[in-house]
Amino acid sequence: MGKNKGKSQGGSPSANTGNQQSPKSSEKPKQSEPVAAPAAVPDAPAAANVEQITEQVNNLHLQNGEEANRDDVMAARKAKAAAKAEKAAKAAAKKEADAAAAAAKAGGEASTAAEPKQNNEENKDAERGGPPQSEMSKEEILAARKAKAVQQRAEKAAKAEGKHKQDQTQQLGQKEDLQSKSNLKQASSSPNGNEKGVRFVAHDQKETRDSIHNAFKPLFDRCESGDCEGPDELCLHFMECARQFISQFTWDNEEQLGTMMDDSLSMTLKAITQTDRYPLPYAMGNVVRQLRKEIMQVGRNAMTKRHLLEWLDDSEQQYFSLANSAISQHLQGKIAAATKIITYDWCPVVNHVLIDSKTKGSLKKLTVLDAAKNGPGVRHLTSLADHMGYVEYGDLTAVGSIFERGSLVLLGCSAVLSSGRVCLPKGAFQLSLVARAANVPVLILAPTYKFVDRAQAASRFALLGKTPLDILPPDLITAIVTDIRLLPPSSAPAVLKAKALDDAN
Amino acid sequence: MAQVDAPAAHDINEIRTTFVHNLAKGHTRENSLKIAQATVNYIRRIIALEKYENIEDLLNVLRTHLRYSISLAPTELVVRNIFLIAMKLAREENMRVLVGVDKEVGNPYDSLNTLWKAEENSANASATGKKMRKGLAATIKEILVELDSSRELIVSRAVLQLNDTVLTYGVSSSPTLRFFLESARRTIKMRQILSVSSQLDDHSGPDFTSSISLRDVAAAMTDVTKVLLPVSVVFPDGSALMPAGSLSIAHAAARHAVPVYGLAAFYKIAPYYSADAASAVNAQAGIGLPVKLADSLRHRVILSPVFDVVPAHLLSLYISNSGAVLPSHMYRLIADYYHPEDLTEEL
Repeated sequence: MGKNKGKSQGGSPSANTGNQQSPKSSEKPKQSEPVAAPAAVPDAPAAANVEQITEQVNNLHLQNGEEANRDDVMAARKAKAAAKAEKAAKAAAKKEADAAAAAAKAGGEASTAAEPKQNNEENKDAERGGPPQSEMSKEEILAARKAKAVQQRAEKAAKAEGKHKQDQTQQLGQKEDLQSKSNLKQASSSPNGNEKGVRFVAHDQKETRDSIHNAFKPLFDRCESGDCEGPDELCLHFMECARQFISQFTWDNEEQLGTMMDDSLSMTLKAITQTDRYPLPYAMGNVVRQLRKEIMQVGRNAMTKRHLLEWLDDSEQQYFSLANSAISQHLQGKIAAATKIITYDWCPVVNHVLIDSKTKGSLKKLTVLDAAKNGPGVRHLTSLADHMGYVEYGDLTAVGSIFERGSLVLLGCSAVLSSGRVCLPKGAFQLSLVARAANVPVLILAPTYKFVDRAQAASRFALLGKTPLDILPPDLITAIVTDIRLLPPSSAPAVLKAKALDDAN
Repeated sequence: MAQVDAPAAHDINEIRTTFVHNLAKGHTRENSLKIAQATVNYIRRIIALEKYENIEDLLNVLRTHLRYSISLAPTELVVRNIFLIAMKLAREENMRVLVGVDKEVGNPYDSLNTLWKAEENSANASATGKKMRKGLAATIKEILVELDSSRELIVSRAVLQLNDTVLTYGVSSSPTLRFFLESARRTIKMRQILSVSSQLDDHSGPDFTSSISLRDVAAAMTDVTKVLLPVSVVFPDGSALMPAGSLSIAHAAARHAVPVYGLAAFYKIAPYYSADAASAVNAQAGIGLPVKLADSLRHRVILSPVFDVVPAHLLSLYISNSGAVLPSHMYRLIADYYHPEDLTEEL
């Protein structure tokens, strides 16, 4: 038991001492672990645990860079946690009861001295309506206690929040917000877990669409129809929608405008990501995070909606046109020195650089490859129709015969991970392998907003669904061309730090 | 060169034209075995119809036909290989007629001293064309038998094991590879056979394979234990001509340390390197592109190579009908099929 004493939770030392006097048989050390008695000290440890669990839940959901300090989000999470925990507790109780019955059957040889006391404890527990303490493991007891406390809190919060939100929706008259909240209410009012109410946002596409703010519906529809070509177009469209959203959003109290706007945006994002089930596409996640940071400033420090719209315009210009021009400028010398430029699939940044270099006369020969003929790479050909003289086009089978002396491979990307790995369209891995074997440099064109503070790639994204991506390891990359400068892949963390894209921000 | 009379020449010309036309007419390349069989039949007709007085005449006749064929179909190295094999057999037949069936014919790859003595004995003698014709016709026919049996012999070299995940490419265009997999499946229960297709969402592979596209190869390679590739031609340095797209598969396999096996029958072993075949292009490159692109693509080149040259260091083993051969040992097999004097002049 001395061992168990050492393991006991700091929050309930007084309760432990009572239990230690009633050791069960030595073959069940886990069952006889010291257990906190919720009835004895109900509030203090429970409150501490609620803080703990809330923090954990927040950490869990912070993956997309969402700041989860809004009441509604909190309430929703708590309700979810409560429902889950109670379900777990019930299951545990049932299990323990079974175990107790079995133990009682087989436990004739258990020490007779300990028995009366043990029974006493169990009876006490039965009176409280809880499972027999000594039969439950530490984790289960904790879970049950947390569940109870969290449920109480969540109910309170949801009640308050529901009232608050009702007022808001009445003013806004937004059907989609109502929908989300009705889901939310459903979730918090039926925390027992096994009903439909546990799901905050229905995964049905129609319901998801209803939960999205009107301004973002065109984006959702476009992605649903599979019309979205890639991360760049997606980001641009998102910014356009965000502009609409900000313009349309009204709130009486100027001071609360930012918070309310963020709440509404958060609801939309929740619906899009199916309650954080799928992450936002990398670059878009960065844009969203920065936008929300700015939105939160509205109403404070004399920041108004007009400032926000200006910020959005500035960022668009900075992320797209200015970044593309800077990348193009960095590359002109290299393109002029190369006898042949090879690219794969479609990327607007690469296209910009190619058109730029052709108008400047530095591009001599171009080869465009696609995974299969008539793929997205054809857009390079059509856009360069008036600019180009000599162009080769082919599919991935031609990869063995395109490299010649002085070639240079330019590839666009979806994201640069913090480990220096790069997410590219599928097939680019093989192209890079053959390029390395042919001693041809591979340059990745990545504006800084595509750098993400993640080491692992996701296979499925919100909006884009399952995107076929290759993860290119750093050893196959000669350099990454950013709007700052040409960098080795190992400098990805430095870019994240410099552009405040890392998790610390 | 032998004087050929008009009707015979006319006939053989017709045969020659038909043969070359058949080589070039197909939109997609025929499989190598069929080309090899057609070439053997063509040579049989040459031997039967052309007139020649001695071995030199016969070799010149064969050389002329060979030059004609490869000038019109320079990428079909199998044709050249079969012709050179036939020329070696003609030389052996000549020696057999001269010295008798029982006596051993000198090996052209013997030591210089042995060759010097052997040369003194035979004293550049030559059998008459008439005597050679009959024996040679039978010998050439043997090539056909050997060609037919080569597939079974390759299949018998089982390299696949239980629980292998095999990745193959070009199964639909290589009957040997398909036959190999079907036979292997009968005896070994492999975990999975991935058939790579150069098209997206193409499920034209055999039923027992799961289709993946070429762009998915790098990701799928993590699960693969063996890569099986069809070979079009093997060069003496161990490198090989394989269907276009094989190079990137071989690189991906090398990256994941997965062994790559090439299926290469004897008639695919080329006696010397030739860069011509590597530049072969598919005549139907533009097919599959939308018509609206015609304007913007008018002055563009559509890349559609037929072959990739895969260097020897990316290949682990060749499975030939005579056994499994390391790429670095491939040159040893040249002596079995070709005569050194036929290789002095590059054709």
